[in-house]
Amino acid sequence: MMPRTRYPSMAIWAAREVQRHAGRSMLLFACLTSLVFLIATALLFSQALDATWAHLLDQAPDLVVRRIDGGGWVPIPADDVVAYATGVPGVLDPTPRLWGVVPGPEGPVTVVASIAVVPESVLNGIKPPTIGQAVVGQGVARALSDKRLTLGIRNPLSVTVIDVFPADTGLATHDLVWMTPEDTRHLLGLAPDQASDLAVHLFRREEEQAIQADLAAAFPWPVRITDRTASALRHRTRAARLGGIAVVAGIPALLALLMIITGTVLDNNGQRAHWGLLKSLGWTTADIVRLQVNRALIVGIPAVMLGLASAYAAVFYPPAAGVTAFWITGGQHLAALTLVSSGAAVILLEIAALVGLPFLGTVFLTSVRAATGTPWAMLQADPWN
Amino acid sequence: MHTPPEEKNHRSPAPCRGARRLLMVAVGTSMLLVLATAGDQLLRVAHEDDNASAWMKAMTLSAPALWTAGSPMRHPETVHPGVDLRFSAGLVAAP
Repeated sequence: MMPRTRYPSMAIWAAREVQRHAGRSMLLFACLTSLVFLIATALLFSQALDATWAHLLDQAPDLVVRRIDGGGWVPIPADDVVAYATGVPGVLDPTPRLWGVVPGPEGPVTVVASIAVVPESVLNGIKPPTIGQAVVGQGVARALSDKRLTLGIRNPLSVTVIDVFPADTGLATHDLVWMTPEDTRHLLGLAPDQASDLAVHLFRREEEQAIQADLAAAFPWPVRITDRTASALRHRTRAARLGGIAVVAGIPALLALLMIITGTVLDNNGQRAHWGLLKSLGWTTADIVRLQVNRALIVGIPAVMLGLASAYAAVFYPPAAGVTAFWITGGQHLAALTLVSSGAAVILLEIAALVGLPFLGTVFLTSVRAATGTPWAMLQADPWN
Repeated sequence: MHTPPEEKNHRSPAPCRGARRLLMVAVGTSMLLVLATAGDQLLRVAHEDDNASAWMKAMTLSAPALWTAGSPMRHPETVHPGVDLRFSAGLVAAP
């Protein structure tokens, strides 16, 4: 037979106290749980969005070069642009890209073609498309009733969907339609030697700004260069704005915390006569304070843990994360929300401290204040007297 | 039957048995929640979004697919002060 866990007798007394005030304890538990959940969900979500964008944008090209003229974007000659860009010191691996946005069955989709061969480790069992075939993301596949996908209006193209990108790649592939370069050029109206733009990686990422003038001068026509930092900054600004909204949402929650603390103070003051009875039976002030702290811990720790775990699940598990995103972003549908959880532990600890420490501090201080005094004086605090 | 004095001292009176159970539930639930959250966090950090990152790199994509195709958040390279986004106009619905 397993030995029974032995708890300190003061903890068992505190549990009895919780049972004596079951309704009040359950109300306190529910208030603390919902308070922690509200604050943690908002802050975790904005932090997770920021971390996810930073993680993914790290893989994006450092610079994207697009040719422009008076009418807007113009396709580029694929072979020539590589030769132009290679001549600029510091440029690594200039890659012409074939991509565009075209109308799909239920909205715009991103059509891409990989000119280079996709490594087998990335494919992970997905068969690359041949002419007339396509691999689509989860968002596109959801809109299909059969295996045929018709894209575009001016040069419509109908392809057979042979595979769907896995759900765990959704952050990159949710709206993608991966086709052959020939099909993509047909759909986008490009000539066989043309590409949409040029992706450039740099030997030193710090040179992103400095190298743009040299790179622009290397092409015989006007170009527009977009750098990764600007894109990252735009995403970071969006995450910071959501974080600001989270702080605003936290203000009523903090007011609720204030009310819980006030309720605790009043509760402890109201028990002065009962504590006087305990002191007259031999309890010391320290015993009474320990009893109240134990009682607060028995209710508070499970409440805080449940609130934090619920918030964690609501942010990092995709079906619930979509609902959370819909709530926090004010009705926007963020697709494929599988967020990065690095840094979440620190946020969870901060919120546990933010709610738990003031609560415990209040319990301790008001208990010390109310339990100090002679038993007779404390017994006089009975409302019947 | 003789009961050892140590055990006798720790035996709970009947009214405390419910309290003991409550204490066990509180401690057990808290530990379970901490272990579940920490375990999930460790598992996620070990291999999260590697596949999405690999496809970002393979397709040389500029931004994640969290936003609607055609929007500047999804395709930042389409943003230009002198060129409006007319070719994306009206394409507001996500697939």
